[in-house]
Amino acid sequence: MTNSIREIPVSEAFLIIGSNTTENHPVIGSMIKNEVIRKGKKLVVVDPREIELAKYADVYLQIKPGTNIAILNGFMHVILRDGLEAKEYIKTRCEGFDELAATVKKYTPEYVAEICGLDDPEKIVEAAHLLAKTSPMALYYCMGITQFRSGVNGVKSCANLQMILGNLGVAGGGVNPLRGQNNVQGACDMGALNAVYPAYQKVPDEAMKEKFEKAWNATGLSLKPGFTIVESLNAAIAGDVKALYVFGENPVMSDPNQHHVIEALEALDFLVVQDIVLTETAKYADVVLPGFSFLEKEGCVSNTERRVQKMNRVVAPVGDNREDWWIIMQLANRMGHPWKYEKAEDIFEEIRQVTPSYAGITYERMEKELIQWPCPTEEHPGTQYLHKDKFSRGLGLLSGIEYTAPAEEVDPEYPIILTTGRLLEHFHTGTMSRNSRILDAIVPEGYIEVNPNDAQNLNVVDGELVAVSTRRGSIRIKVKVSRRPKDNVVFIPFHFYEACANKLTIDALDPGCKIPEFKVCACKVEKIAV
Amino acid sequence: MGNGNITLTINGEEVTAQKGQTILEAARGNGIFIPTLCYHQKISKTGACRICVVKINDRMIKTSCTEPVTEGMKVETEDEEIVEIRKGILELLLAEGDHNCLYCDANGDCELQSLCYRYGIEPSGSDFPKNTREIDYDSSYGLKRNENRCILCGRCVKACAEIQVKNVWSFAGRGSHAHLTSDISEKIGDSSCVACGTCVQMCPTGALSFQQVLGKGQAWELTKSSSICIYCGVGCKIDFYTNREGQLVKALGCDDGPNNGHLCVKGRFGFDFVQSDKRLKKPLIRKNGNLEEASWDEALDLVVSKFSGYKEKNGPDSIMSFSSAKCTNEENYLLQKFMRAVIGTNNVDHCARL
Amino acid sequence: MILVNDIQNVVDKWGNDSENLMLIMRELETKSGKNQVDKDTLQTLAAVMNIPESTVSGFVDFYTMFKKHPRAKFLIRVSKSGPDHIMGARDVFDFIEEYLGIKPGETTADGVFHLEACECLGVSSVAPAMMINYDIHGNLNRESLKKIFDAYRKKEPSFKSDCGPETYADACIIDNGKQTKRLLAAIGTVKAESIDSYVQNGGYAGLKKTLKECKPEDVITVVKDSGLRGRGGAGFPAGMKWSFVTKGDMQKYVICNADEGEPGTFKDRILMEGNPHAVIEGMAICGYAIDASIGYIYVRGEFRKSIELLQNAIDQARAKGMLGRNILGSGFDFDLFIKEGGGAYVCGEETSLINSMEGERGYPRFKPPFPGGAGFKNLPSNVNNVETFASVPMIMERGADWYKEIGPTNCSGTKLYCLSGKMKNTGLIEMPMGTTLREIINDFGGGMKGGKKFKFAHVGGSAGGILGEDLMDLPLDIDQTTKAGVTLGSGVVLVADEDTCAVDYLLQIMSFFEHESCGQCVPCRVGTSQLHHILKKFANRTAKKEDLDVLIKKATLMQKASLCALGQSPILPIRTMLKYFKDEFIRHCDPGYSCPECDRSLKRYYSGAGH
Repeated sequence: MTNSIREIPVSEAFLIIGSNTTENHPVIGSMIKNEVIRKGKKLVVVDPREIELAKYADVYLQIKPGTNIAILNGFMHVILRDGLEAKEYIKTRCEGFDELAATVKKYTPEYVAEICGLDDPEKIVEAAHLLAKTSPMALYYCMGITQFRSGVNGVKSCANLQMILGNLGVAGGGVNPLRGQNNVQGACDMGALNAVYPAYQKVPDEAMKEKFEKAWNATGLSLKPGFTIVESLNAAIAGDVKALYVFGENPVMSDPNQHHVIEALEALDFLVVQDIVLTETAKYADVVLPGFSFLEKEGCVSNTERRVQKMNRVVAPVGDNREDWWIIMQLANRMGHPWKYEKAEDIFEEIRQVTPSYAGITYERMEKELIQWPCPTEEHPGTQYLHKDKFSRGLGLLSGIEYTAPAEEVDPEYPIILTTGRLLEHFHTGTMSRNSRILDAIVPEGYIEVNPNDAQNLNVVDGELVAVSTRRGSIRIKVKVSRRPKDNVVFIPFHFYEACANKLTIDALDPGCKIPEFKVCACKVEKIAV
Repeated sequence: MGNGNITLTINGEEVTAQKGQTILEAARGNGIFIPTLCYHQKISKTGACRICVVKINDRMIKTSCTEPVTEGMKVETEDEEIVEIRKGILELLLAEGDHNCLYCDANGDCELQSLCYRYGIEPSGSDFPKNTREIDYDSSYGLKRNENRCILCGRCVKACAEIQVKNVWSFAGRGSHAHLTSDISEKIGDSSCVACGTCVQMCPTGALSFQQVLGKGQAWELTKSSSICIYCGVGCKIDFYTNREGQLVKALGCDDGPNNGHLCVKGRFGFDFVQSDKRLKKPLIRKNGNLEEASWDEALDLVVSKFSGYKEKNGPDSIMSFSSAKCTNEENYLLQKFMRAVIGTNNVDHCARL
Repeated sequence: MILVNDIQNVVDKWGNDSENLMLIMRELETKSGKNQVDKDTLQTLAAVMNIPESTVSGFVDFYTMFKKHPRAKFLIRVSKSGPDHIMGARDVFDFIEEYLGIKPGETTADGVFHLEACECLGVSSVAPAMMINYDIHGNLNRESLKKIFDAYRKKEPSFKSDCGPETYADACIIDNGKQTKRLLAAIGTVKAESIDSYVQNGGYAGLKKTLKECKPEDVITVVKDSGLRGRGGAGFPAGMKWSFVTKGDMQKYVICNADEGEPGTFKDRILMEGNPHAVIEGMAICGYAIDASIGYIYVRGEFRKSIELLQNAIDQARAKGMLGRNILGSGFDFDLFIKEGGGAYVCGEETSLINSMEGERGYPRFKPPFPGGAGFKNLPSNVNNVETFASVPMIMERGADWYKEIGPTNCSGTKLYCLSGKMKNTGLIEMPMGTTLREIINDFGGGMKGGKKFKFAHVGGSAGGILGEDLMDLPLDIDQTTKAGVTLGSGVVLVADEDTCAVDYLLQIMSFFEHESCGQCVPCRVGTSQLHHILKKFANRTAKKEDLDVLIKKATLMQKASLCALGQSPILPIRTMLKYFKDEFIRHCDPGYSCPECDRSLKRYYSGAGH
């Protein structure tokens, strides 16, 4: 998030796009509901499913999955057409406006309504006006923006909109991605990415290589970016990747096109899995290393608003398990690197040395202060919102982004759009939530959400078992007839191994950031003959 | 005093408060105790339980939770008459419901109990009839409800309306027949409740309680420690309670975190996997096609020998690692350092995109 | 079951805002044909209005006029409040049981009638009374009841009221030429249905004069000078109240409290039904004074006829330009709307009334903030009683000095006294403030009915005090009554004779308070229930003498600690009743003591299912 959770009350309007906030980030969802329902703040919701927030929206736009860029361009078209942009802000703080203006020119409400499958183009105008005329307006998005072949462009479009409205770098505004896991922010910050070191310092940079060789007392750091997850699976099948070390992940469940993932794991010579339970992935492992659960370990995590918080040991560890950092250190030690950490804080002290945005953060400050990176020095209060007076790159870059269709569109054989996501009661691959008794009891099994019209066309009823197939695989799953999905769109949560959504999803990737297109593929739903 | 400050006298002592504060807030700000039941700082004021009454300027009796401070005001928080009123109210409450601490989940953690103790309330021996209200222990996986322990303070109604913003609870009935309803007289488990548990966390008595998560423990046997929720990226801070056996018992939202004490159903109830019997307890090594328990040395040495082998033979880039968005900064840092500095590859990624 | 489309239409008609919930609910209930708003209807309504189900449910549950369970085509509500109790409500129940075969809560086998007990219907001069759907009938006896029920069997339910002629405004006034008529002068002269008739009789002259000659602050000065004090019961100076309304650019509201629920009171109903324009005119003047462009009259849901006549008057006033934009070319805008009650005495408390207007449960709000600062929709609002507003036009027209000519210095003007109970004549009279009980009973009541002996008068309503012989010459004005430890309240004078049992009567009063407590604050919710319980013990002769102390102790706690006036009130009837009839209570402590009155009430109201 460019901005902070505590700014929610400062925002006068919200654009929620591609985020089922009340289910996936419920605490933030409630805060937004509070502003909208109880204080009359404005709300525009864009989502293919009629999520709870849609009920309270001033304008709700039920778009076809994969058409975010079109609708955002549509908003910008109306804003520029009607002269509602923040002219001074654009002039002084941005560049590339002409290109953007030229691009959005053709995205008339009518054209966009056509792409997005909306009946009433006027609602696009209404939404655009509302968003432009109420400030500060905060844009919140989640995987419904990013998990597309055009994910990076979706994010850029969000930034475009907020820049032309002057909503970046102001309290209560911002482009606010809601992070889906408790430390996905931190894992990125720490350089658990193929092309960057901690704090997004670039791998193919001699200076960085030198910096880290010195800091780590190491030699021969590679200048070549590594594989991303999905690329590495392809490389495994091709025989280029021989060994895989999976630490706290469950790719068999979480990655698209499960069949392909399993094929890759089977192609490996050696698989190590470090986890807390025997996950679906661990079942393919050669070595399984039992780690600590979150309540057994100490360390820190960074939340969606860049706030770094301390985790503490609450319960004694089980069995003969070891701290995860100890396990990694042991591997390093046994490979000839004499790392010596005695506790998590020792590692964090090293992190501060090489991670400028974390340099001013200490365990002591975390316990006492609300502290958000960037925080370069111990005297620095941290940063509530980014891009305050200028963007990190100087001028904000507006870029013209064209809508592109998803990789797989419906055809007579696979006539229905499948989209996937999470439920309130479960999390990701279910390793934790499905092993929690109450959560598992509340929602014990998966289902496919089918619109009543589609259910009628398919001749299926609530609770009936159906076969759902894509070009990649097929599952059997119960029908839940629901008004939530748009006509001809079905939704399956991906938490359930018994009816695994990712057997169906497509492994098409965004060319830039390699995010898979989980949110849209073509499927067919068939009644199972008795 | 200027600067919007107000001077008043509480129990004969001059204290300073801010303009717009209530007497209760001023008193608490100055370390003076006034009992409360319906009041809770996270929700709007109710003024219904009347237990926080104080005497103003020797004559008016007002609820301190609603009455604003004024310059020169004289407040007595606990004179004989006020104590008499408080006792009277507590007696009414005890007579209204079924407040038998012996059988109550909230024993030791009950605001009504502690006030009755403070004011020395004895069983009245009166024969006033009690309305029998709803007991619903089964319909919800998360919440239990025993309205015979309810004092109708309305905290749950407001918690649901103002914090979770779901409005599952409302009052129904009227007068002595007033009671709670969820949706339109639904059982809580059949209602639109999302089991965030905020109402339970704010209930001052045992009327609302959590379904037992793991073994039981009574309030005074539990140990509290805080950590951060493991699920989504909001980073809610949670106070976890463990019993003497070290078992996790319950989770309450912590006020210090970005969540301001609020939680969702996952943060509230999704922690017992930590002590589930599905947990791995020893390293495993695949032998003859099966994963078999092994010692740490055996397991670590095997990994090291394999990694060293591939690094040597196929080059560092033949080894890949997936790091974890569910693990700490320290762990993620160390894994990427391991891959980069020890293996010599940038083959590290995690599920940021999944 | 009501169809989704029908529900949608009703919501569209009244407006999709929870402040219209009462009107929507009322129409849905009528549409049901069974006097019911069932769960399915409520669920659909919540979905259509996009408001929480719990809100709708909690709302319906608060107002006794609505029920989720089916009742019948015709719903009979028989009042059991004080005046009706004294005048024979129990006989009415007895007859209904005999003739229709139903007790409260039951439906006739043919599904035509359902019986409920209710509280005062605002027609106490013709008690005992009942309401069938929205038609009120008084002076009930075996013959009239039979005739009424037989007639209803042939009728179809209608949303329009069809009340008995005995309840009409002019029929409820004691006209013996001895009154000091100001408010009542127009009743019977002016046609309630006709604005022209009102204007011909000098109506709207006060408003015209005000708009032409006065600045808003001048109006407040005149009203202050006149000494007009609130006629709802609390007696707060009206001009002062107006001056407390926050000034500024925000929307402000004038609210007329026409939730006349105090048992024994019926004056506001008569003003609304006999001379509705006076209320409208008074509110418009107030609107001008406090810079409010919108007014609401919150009328008891039971007063269907008042609502109809008021609505007609509002429509006419709008058409005549007395309401709406730029009234009489003055640039002053003021419009008026009716809000309805749903059967809750506590909504007569001004903050409960405001909550009810907003579509909430009628819980009183803590004060401060007062409505003048944060009232309807949390905006500045001035709430006054019907009689208060109706007094305003003449004050503006004739001046403060003229108004003050009558009545004591600090309680100027006339007062409407509502006479009910065991007098020869009952009805409404208008006399200078400070008329005594003796004058009222002798000069207007025509003495005790049937030559019986006076036992006590309950003055001010259920929340008022009991007056015995010793207070016969107490001037019944706002201050003198308070000084004497009683209250004038809304002007109820209910007279009981020697046949009335003090215990039995107080039992009904305590039953009333328990029934009407909103249940929000602890002292009142539990206290009213306990007081009622103690009275039951006296009535069935199981009480001990010490229970009298408990009674006083509990009621005193309630007086000190309750959130609103309802819980603070029971001490007054209890203390004053015991002042005169403590011995009678002590006699009831003897299990062998015979009391047919108590026995009858116990059998009627406290036996069978649910007790």
